Amino acid sequence: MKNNNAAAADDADARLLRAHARGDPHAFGDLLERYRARILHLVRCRVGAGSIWVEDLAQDVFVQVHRKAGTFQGRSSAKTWLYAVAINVCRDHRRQERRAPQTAPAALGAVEPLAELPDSSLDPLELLEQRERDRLVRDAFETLSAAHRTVLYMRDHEDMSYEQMADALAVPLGTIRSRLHNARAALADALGQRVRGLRP
Amino acid sequence: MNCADAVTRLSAALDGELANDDARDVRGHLDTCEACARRYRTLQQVRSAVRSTPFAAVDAGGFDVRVLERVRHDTPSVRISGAWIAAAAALVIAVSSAVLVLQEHASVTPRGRAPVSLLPSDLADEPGFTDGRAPLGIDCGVNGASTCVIEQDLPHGLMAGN
Repeated sequence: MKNNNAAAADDADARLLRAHARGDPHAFGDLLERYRARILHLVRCRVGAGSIWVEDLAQDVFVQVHRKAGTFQGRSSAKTWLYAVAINVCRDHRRQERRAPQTAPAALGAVEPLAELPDSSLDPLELLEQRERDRLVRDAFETLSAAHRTVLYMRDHEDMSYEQMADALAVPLGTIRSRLHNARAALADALGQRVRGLRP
Repeated sequence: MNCADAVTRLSAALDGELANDDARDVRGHLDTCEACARRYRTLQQVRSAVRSTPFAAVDAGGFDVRVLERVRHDTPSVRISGAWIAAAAALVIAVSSAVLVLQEHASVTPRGRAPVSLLPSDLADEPGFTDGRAPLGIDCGVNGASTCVIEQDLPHGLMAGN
């Protein structure tokens, strides 16, 4: 069922990309709605949640999607294609940063860094515990390298296959396998350090 | 399978991304190796932690407005410029064709058309008159004791010297 849902979502995304390329005035808004949060999260993984560039780069991704929708040929899933666009935008940004640091964008519209959605079914103590646990995980997550954050996000949040990840990141399948393993090991280590730090 | 081989495959095993043979070997190793079984459980916990931790919320309205604004301004420069390039290319081709046609009609000996020699047959073998074709730029003046070549369908009035 999950695979069927994913396939249906991919079909819908591909239709939206093609519709936008044909000039459908509503398709881009729908793509934005479906991918806004995911692209923002992916960009955060690439440049770090605290980066002032997150929103600007996420905007750049959608501008690129708008420009290049006509080049989508369906050889990969629409989601993989969209993420590859995002990865390339972030890579270009990093190259530019290395050559000449860019001027920081205006603070207008900065994304809330750690907003949370409270689970109303939890009692206050449970809620507190959950928030503390989430904070620990996010803090540990942020200590990882961009490459490790990216594969963890793609696999564990976005449920992408290794093959899709390899396509989006333009690296061999074996690299995905080892990178994901190392990412989980690094996160386990970072979490362990924080948990040990909590002990009296 | 030893521990070193198993460890590199634990994450992929967890994700169901191993080939059947590999997956069976890893499972067999985990049944007999407590250290690797513990590593596997740790990876499970880490995956579960990432999956259950919400990422930051997004300021949807503001973000969408800013993206749509950029896209709106981007549209003319991208899409219309493509159309303009195509139109400009068509114009260049049309003008070039027109120039070529005009040059062709203005030429004394246009290429690709059968010429008619007005040359007396005894002069046909003189240099410059082989094959009955006059070289381009030849003086067709009536006083030049020469000849010229014209197109069959070209009115004689267009001939130089006529």
